[in-house]
Amino acid sequence: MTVAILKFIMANLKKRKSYSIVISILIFLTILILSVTASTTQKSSQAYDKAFNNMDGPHLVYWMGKDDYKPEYKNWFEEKPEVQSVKLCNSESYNGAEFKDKGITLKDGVDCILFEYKPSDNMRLIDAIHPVEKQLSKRQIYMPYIYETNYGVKTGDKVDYVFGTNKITFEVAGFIEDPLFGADMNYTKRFFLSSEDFAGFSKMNNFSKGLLLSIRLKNFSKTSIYSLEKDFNKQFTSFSGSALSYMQLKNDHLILPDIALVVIVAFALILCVITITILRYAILATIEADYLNIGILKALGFTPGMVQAAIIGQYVVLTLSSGILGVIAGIFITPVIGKLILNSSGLYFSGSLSIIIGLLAISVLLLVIILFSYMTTRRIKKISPVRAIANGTAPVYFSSRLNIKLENISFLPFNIRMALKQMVTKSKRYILLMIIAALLSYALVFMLGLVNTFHSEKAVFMVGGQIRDVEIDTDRMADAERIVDKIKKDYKVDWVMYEVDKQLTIDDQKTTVFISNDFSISGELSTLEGRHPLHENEIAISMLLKQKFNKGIGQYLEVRDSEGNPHQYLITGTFQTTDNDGENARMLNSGMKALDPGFELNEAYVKLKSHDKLDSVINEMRDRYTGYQEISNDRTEANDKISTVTSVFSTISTLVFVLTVILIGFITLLIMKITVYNEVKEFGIFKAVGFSSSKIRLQLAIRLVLVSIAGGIIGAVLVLLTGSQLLSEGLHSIGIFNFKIDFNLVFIIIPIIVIVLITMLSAYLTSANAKKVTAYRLINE
Amino acid sequence: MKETILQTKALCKSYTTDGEQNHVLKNINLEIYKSDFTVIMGSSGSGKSTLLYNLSGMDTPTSGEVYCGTRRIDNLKENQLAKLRRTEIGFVFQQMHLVSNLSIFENITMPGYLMNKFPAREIERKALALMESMGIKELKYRLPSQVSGGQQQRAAVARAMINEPVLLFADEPTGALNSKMGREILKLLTDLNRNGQSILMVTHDIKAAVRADRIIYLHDGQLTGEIQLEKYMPDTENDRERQVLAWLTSKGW
Ligand SMILES: Nc1ncnc2c1ncn2[C@@H]1O[C@H](COP(=O)(O)OP(=O)(O)OP(=O)(O)O)[C@@H](O)[C@H]1O
Ligand SMILES: [Mg+2]
Repeated sequence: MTVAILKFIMANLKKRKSYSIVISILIFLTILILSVTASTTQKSSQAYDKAFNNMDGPHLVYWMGKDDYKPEYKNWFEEKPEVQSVKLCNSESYNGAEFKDKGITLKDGVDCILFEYKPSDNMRLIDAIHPVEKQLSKRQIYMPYIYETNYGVKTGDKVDYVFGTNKITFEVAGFIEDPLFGADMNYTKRFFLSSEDFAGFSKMNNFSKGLLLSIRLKNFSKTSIYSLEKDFNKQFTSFSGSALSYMQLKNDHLILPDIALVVIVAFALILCVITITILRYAILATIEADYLNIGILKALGFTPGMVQAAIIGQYVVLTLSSGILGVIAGIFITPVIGKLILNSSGLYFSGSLSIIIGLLAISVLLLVIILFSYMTTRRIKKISPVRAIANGTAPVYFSSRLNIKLENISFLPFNIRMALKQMVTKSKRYILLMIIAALLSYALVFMLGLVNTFHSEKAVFMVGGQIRDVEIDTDRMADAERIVDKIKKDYKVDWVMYEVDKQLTIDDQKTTVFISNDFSISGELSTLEGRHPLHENEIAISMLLKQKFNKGIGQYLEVRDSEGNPHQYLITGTFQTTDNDGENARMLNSGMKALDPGFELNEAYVKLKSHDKLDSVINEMRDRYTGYQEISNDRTEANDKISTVTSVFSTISTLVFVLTVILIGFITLLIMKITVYNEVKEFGIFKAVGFSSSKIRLQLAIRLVLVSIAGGIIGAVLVLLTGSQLLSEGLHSIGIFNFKIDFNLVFIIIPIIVIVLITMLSAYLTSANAKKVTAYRLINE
Repeated sequence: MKETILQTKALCKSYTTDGEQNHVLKNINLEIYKSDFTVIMGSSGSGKSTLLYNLSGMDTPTSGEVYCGTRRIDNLKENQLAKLRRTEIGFVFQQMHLVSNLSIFENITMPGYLMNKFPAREIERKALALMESMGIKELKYRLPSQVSGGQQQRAAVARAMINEPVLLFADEPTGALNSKMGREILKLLTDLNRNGQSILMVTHDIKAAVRADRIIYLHDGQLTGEIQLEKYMPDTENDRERQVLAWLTSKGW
């Protein structure tokens, strides 16, 4: 009996060769995408931890000016039993300094911080000139890895360090993997110099001297890191540096890769659902087409269980063989995808597909397929041999309520009438295609909507920012006002906002607070709940801070002044932002003055009515007020920030686009194969009564096109209704609670057209069989 | 002199199976006349169905010529053949071959809509008239699986008649039916012929064959004889049966 079943399996696979191939390809793609994305997710988290542990990374980092440092800080940490080691590093930076390659600024608006390179720091070097000695000679530099992957710098290139009116040329000796500030999203970047060069900069007094205090714990957990941070803030209330935890650091590096992966995994899951639906449908079609054979087998004494085993067996063979091929292909593709995904993180992707994940994916899919095919093949029990042999076909079932009469829709062209009729009476098959088209159009419209959103400058509003042209950073507010007045006199100015960010201790947590004269002046900063502060004892907080403090509107926060005395501030509103990992607060100038009477709003942002001459405005002001203030182009900086996100989303949407085209093509192909297979006899009859092949093919194509148009539109409408909400849910962790995707009509129509065109094309191509066969042979098939 | 509506010249058809040539029709020269009820007989496997398919444009001959009226049809393109099938020809199969998801009425009207020569109303009126004359008017909205074999075959005849074909082909139309149902179909065909419809039918059944004006005998792919009969009258049935049987026996039936 086993032999008989195996023979039946092989014969069936052979008989439906093309059909089996299409199902194999679907399974192949599913396993491939699933195992590659799962492996990449696992490996990218590992990549971070590897880089982090390699250099004995700090679980807590404090950054401060050298003058703000007190030896007690280090001692305090060293005495804590949970602390493993404490390290101090010197840094040098020059406000507004840039790295240029052949005169072009590499990454606008970055704070370039210089460090002395010590081999004992154990940072991973990539493409280094002297990988063995690792030592740097004079005028050599190690840059963050991101400069190689995203900004095209190569080892051996000469880059210029431009500060003020000076320029020093360095040779790029290699790239470092920096788990602290390596991500493209990070606007602080560490550059490593030889001891000699570093000492040179240390001697210059127009460089700001900084200190990085790194604390590594023995056994760390989220709570242990937080409580240590809290204790430190309680102990040293006047400390004014900024703090970063391991969680924040890791999040900074992996946030974009993670979002990308979530999107792709979501797509892979959609793919899984599609594959399973298709399989269910294919099995039903097999039973329908093999109705007579099954009847005969039963008449010969096969039990329903054996027939069932034979059908399930076919799919087990297909799943195993193409699943294994998918894992093998994944081994080659994972490094490519991994590099692509980690592109924005500054981390080095190594390793390949995890075989365990691959096998797991195959087993899960296999299990699901066996389960589904078992459930769908149960109806074999109901096939009576007599009926099957007498009729040769399964009885036709369809809801008579759904039925439409050809004569009632005679206003439509005949071909469309026939297509509609066939669709309605065989609705199961077409509903399936419609759902798939809807799912794919959902994915496509969603992705293109995202690309479109980030393509526009307005995306800045979405992440809690403003579009600003000129940034003026001075020592005293009076200086800033003087420059602003000059700009106002010479150019048309939209608005001016004074804003400074400060680290304050709020409820014992170091928190970034933005202080301004007026948060509503630009009309671009909005609150999600409540309003911005209007009085000196008021404060607005980001949604993530609200969650962290577990306090809302109407409640009070305790903010400490420079002496360490607590002051109460009333929460008036909440807002969304991605800055400072989504955690910051907003306070008025008057509110800050209550904490520090000497405080001055010494930074201004100017939005011009037209930014056509922005560069000349900036150059003019720089020439005029040279020396003691920094005037910079804030617009390109913001755009640069957004372009990081845009490029990530563009990459994913291209991937999704290509996959969708392939998928919809194959699925239509499969549905056509099944349709042609099950309707050969009908085609024969149609031909016998005088349909031409092209009419039959046209009709088939019309059926699928109508269905895919409907599906495409449904998918698009669903995205419009739910896309923004769904995304906002997913973006809570980075601080976004209300993200409005900016859908563009063209980007809604294009996916639908693509889906419809591909459907039409593959429908027309596969139905070519109908042409070759003569009428009577089709009937007698 | 009767008008020729179908004519073949040296018609041959062969199949290649497993590299071996199988000559099914060998040099057939045949004329079918207008208003005749012509019957083709012959033993199983002699090529009757094959001949019918090649005459009706369902299949194309290997060599030789087929004329419908004066128009040569064996070398027509696929689309022209389709047009021929929907305008000049009606075909009734042994296994009915109704489209299973169309109602009886839709099955019958479909070729009419397809031809697109008459307005929809006209086609539907004609379909109803055909159904009435065949006694299946009440089955309008039933599906093929919901009516009996004889009723299905009557619907199949109505479908073949809807475009008023020049020639109605029938390949063993009674073969799948019991004798009572078979007789009803035969009566139907005889009535159609009375009203001037030309019919070409293949049958094994002597009771069917006696309805013919002319019987052609096919043996091993070749025409080996034919017999002309008087117009059929029910009361002469027994005599005709004897006459035909004697002739068939002489042909080696
Ligand atoms: N598609 C085909 N390929 C190969 N051989 C075929 C094909 N169709 C028919 N034949 C062969 O041609 C011969 C005649 O077949 P045909 O169906 O015309 O016979 P028939 O006279 O109609 O028989 P019956 O009375 O049993 O219906 C048979 O030997 C058959 O095997
Ligand atoms: Mg036959």
